[in-house]
Amino acid sequence: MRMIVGKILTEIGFEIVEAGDGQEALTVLSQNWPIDLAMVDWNMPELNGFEFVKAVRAESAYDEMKLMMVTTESEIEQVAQALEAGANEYAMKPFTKEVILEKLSLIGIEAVQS
Amino acid sequence: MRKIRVLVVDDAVVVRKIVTDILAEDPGIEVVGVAANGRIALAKIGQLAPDIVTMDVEMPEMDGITALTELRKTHPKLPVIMFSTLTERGAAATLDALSHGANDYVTKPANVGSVAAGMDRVRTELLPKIKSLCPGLGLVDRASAPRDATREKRPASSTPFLAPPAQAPIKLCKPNTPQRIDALVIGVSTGGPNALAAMIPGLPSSLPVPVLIVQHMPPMFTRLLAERLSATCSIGVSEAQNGDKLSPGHAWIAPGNFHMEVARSGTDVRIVTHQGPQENSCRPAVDVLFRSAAAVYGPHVLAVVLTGMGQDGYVGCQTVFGAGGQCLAQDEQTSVVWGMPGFVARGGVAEAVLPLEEVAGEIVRRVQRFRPLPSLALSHHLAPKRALAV
Repeated sequence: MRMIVGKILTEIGFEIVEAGDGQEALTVLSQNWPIDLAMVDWNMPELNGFEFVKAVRAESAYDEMKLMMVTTESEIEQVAQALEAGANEYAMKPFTKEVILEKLSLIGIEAVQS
Repeated sequence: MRKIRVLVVDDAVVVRKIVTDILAEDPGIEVVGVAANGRIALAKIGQLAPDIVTMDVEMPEMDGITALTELRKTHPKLPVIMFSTLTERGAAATLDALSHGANDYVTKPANVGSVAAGMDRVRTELLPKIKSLCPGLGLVDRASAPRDATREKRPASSTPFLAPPAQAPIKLCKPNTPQRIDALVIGVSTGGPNALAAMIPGLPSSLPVPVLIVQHMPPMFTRLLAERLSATCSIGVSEAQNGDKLSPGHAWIAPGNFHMEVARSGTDVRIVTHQGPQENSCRPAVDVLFRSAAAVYGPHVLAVVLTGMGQDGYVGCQTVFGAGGQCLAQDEQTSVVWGMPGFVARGGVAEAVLPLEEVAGEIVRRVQRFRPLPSLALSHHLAPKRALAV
């Protein structure tokens, strides 16, 4: 999943940093700040997507960062909780570059190159 | 000219005498007092207001580390040079002293055999350290000093590179076209143990490149330093051994008294340690490591020069830069001595000059570039946005 997201985001002009789970993501985030966007899988070991969103939104330093949940159709109800907890958007798997571009423009991120 | 006022603290009469006699030979230095233990030293510092203190570690009544700890409460900036023994206990005590605020250390003259050898050690090791820790003091006034034709003659340069003038302003290079970084090499000397202890924990265990460090230190010290760093850092840190195979997310510290190079062996890159001639009066030398990294990794090298006396690493950075790689230097404000990083900063080979606390973050940013996927050409007039993919 990370590979696909990373590939699409790289193509549209993002610099990518990666993390393997939610706990690592918090560390990576603090070490690489500023970051404009986090693409978060619902199913992560250590800290799931919902817990990650709560942890990030509890920290005001990260207010500017957009959070996009990556989900499957079966998880769609749970994702609603994440949106309530402060995630900005979600993208349902499988997705294309065009879908991501559209979702990004919804949350106010203009891609460098499309 | 104002002389540098030195207080010599040691319980051994012979050491106090050797150090005092040698320092008295230098017209820029004045020994204003001696003390036989830490308690006397603290009292004399109040009375004599020295510019710098040399401090033994093991002394009766109050040892050097206790005295240093007390001293730092009232004199946070007064430079202190520790005298250390080349034993495991001496090395551990010295590293403790450095983490308690000592600025530098020298090997104890009593430990090198004869009195003559001890005097020589003080002359070559201690004198330059005193001068570099007291910048602006003890300098001979050029205009009034007698001209000495033989002294003015410059030694033939062993390198084709010109050194930047000592007081030149910072001059950054025009960066090479950025390349993916495959190896991080670090050179550091005076102030290094504390700088590394502050910086290396900022490197994540997932760091995608190997880290090679030359810290100018004697044997034993380098092993203890590696053990201490390993205990507090997310990446593993070990003292390098000849033949070690490089892997990402691990740091190797060059063993004292050996040069450390890298060499390709099949698909691996391995460490080669050897006792070739000293460079810049150092072994391990930063230049040796940087040169071999540029030879093996070409433009995919990130070289970082941190606090330290002298100019080891400057020629190495020129080689790294010439091969298309990237160089960073620590800034003057956060360096204990801005010699090595100062040369790099003034010499037009660094892409950035940074405070210590920003170095790890900058390293991570640079090594993450073009990773893990090859980047497509980005449009140049817009800065890329950054995303975290989990």
